[in-house]
Amino acid sequence: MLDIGKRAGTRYVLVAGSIIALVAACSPTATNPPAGSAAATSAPAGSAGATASAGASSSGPIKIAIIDAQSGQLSSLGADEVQGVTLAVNAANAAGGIDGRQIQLQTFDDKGDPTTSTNVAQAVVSGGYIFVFGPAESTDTIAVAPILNKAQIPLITSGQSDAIANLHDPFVFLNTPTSSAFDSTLATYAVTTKGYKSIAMISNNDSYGKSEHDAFLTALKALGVTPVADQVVTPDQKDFSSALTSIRQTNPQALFIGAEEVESGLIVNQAKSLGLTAQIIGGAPILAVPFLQTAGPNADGCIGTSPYIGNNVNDQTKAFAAAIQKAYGATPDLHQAKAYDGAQIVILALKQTHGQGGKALADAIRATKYNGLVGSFSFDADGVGVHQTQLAVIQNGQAVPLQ
Amino acid sequence: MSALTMPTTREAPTASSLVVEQLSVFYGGVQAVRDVSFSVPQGGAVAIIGANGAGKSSILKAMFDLVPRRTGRIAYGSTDLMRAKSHEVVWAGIGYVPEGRRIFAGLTVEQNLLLGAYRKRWDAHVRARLAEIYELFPKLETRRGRLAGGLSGGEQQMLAIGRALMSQPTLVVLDEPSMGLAPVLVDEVADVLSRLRTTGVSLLLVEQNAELTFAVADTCIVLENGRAVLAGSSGELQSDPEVRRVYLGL
Amino acid sequence: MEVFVQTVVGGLTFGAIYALVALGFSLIYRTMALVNFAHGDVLMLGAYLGSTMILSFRLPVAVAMVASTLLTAAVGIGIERILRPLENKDLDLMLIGTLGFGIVLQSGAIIVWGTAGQAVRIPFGAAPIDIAGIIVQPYDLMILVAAAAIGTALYLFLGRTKLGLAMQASAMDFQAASAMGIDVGRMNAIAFAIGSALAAIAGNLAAPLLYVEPTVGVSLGIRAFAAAMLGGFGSIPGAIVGGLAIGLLDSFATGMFQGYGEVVTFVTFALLISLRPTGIFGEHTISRV
Repeated sequence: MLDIGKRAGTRYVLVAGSIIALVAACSPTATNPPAGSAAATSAPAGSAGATASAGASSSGPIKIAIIDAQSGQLSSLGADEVQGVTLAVNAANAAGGIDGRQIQLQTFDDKGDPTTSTNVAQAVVSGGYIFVFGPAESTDTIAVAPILNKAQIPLITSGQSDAIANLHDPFVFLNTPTSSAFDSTLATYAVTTKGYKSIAMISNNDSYGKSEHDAFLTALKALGVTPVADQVVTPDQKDFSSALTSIRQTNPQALFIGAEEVESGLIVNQAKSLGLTAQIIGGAPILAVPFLQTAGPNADGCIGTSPYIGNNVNDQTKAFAAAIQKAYGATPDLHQAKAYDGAQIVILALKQTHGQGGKALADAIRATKYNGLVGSFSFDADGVGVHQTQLAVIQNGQAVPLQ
Repeated sequence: MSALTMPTTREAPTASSLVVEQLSVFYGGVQAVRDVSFSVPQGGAVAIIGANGAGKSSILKAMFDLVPRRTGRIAYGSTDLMRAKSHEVVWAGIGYVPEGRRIFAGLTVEQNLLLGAYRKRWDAHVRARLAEIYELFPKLETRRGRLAGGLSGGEQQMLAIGRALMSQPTLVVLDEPSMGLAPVLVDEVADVLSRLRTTGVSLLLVEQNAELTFAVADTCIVLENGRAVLAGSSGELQSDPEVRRVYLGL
Repeated sequence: MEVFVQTVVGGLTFGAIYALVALGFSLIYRTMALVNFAHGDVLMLGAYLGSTMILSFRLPVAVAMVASTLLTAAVGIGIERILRPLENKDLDLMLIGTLGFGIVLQSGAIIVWGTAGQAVRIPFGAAPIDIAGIIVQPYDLMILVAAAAIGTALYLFLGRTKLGLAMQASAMDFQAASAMGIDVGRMNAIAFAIGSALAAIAGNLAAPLLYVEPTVGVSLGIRAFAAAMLGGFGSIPGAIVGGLAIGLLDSFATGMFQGYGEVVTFVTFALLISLRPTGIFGEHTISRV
């Protein structure tokens, strides 16, 4: 009725607004992760759109892609990965690269979403990249693996689901033990070492939580123990009163948490506030910084397991932590460490193949023996390189190896 | 019948007469009003009549800067309305009863009326004004706490007029005050407007209802396709058969 | 029984936070007839500003809360200023504009604070209240009281003050409101300022129960949006009741259906809304001509 129409200003704001939105939405596909921009830009810049068949070029920079979440709920994980990889690659480039060729690193944002991951993987294939880091999420890794396999592009993932190893894909490698290794360590500690009979479980139903849930349950059953409670929550959940009160009624000696860092922290906070006294046990998230921040004083006494339990374990980890601190002002945890190890392995392998990709690079990675931050790498047929995790307890907000 | 080019009075504007000169209104590429000039003298009552879509409402909306683009001159007394923003027009002493009443449906009758006096402090003077409005429209007083959206069409029209009067305007602009009203209510509106005139308030109205138009206005402007094609006293136009047939459907 | 009552307590605590967020949605809708899709991200900004003042500048919690609320309100005014050329002209573009601002705020937070979040502790260490095994945290009670007090204040402001009435009138009919002498643009700016301040307060109050990260506003925003709809969009009592209802619904659904709880919450919500599209307190719909 009284439509008074549009003025010129309308168009201006629309254009300005959509440009802002577009720039904001698309910027993570450019190289620089916000936290590590200074270091990332020192890698030679190049055109991401250039096409070359995988592994074919023998001069110019060696193109390597990182596929990880740079926006959305999992962007923190993605940023950690970029830091670890970039640190290693920058050092290698500074030392002369691969036979004098520089390694060119390009980050692709998959938003932690498998559909985006496959789209991005197609771009990586057509972009002439010969190697891929990531994604950190197991679901995303499983989504991109067939595409990269077809293009004969090896990938080192930070996902730890047993399902990745079960792909039996000769181009897929893991820079971490699988969930079953984490959880059998944990279950053995709880049942055999501590003699706990009543153990409760709470886990979320995303790919990480599910894989933790299944692996821990399998490990417990193998030791002849059935959990007294098995509560499942959603990754987005904020209030755990119902699940935790149900668990409290079973009066367990230990409570296993299978969820990412922040959610694990919220669960621990609410468990303590509801008066739950069970020993909290969990995987690598229990030893990670976001968990320690979220849980604060409630983190003390919690026991976690990880191949990388902290930065103060030995000289190698101390030097690594100092380097990450210097480059990014961040305190590293498992995510940066395993990404760094993965990068070191592929740099060693590239030196063996003299910059060649494809099956030669995959074979070289498989043959690489490397004593890294997260353990001694020796790859098996399924691409798993490290097989051990260590236990640690939180004391005064720090992860301390458990004797 | 004579097709006057310059309608109505052309005397010099007094302190509170409305002068519209060469007004044009555009909606995008469509020109709804073309070079219309007229004035409303102090205490006078002018009606704009014409077929649907002739541009009548656009003239009123143009006064309140509620159209996309307008050119020409609109002045009320010493105030240049072409420079005023929508919410500043009421400062000059102009009250607006928009087409379709446009009352605030989710607010009470009294809240609607009080908002009519938004520019004033809601003090004893405004309370007194409220009492006057209730005296003018006793029905509104009995409904004062009710949501305005629940009123009947006639009551809503009374509310819209009452709300415009709350600011104590010297000129009231009404857009189709008889629209959708039963004949008995049209008479009531005509009665209220005539009483208003006796207080010295000027009126500018757009109207389709002949009875109301000729009862209230002393001058009429006939609009056709955005142009003022005819103007004259109510008496002259009332007896003009073509005006009666084409514009008033009589 | 114990599980039931404890679930109620947990549901009400988060419900109160959803209610606070929903109040901001409702206020802006009530003034501009606009759903501000950036609201959750404005909350995130408020939570980040508040927690940064506490953690990095060592300001007292109360000072940080007030200062971050004022700063966030200023950002709200800025958003309204940029959207103003679209006001009263193209509502669809404005909706898209608020979506864009949400993305900008999230990206901005990543640039300023990084992707890693930060955690603040509950500001006072009062002992929990234990009634026959049901644990109630004093802080949770405080959130409930704050939601009730702010809801009441807002209700009185909108219905009893001249400014509040003018803001409502602007949403109901901006042209008629202008003709009454109401500066609609100013009303919109005030609505954005108060709405953003409410988001900041909710963000500050929720921060100790959550982890402040760039996406913290997303899930809160979605639930608060559902709460506002369930209560009747634009209704102040509706925002409070809707917030508590969504909190309880969520807690019981996740308690009973575990991993499928979230699905059950939103399916139930969709059913309720299809039965009563105007929501609980939606006695009238505000329509913009």
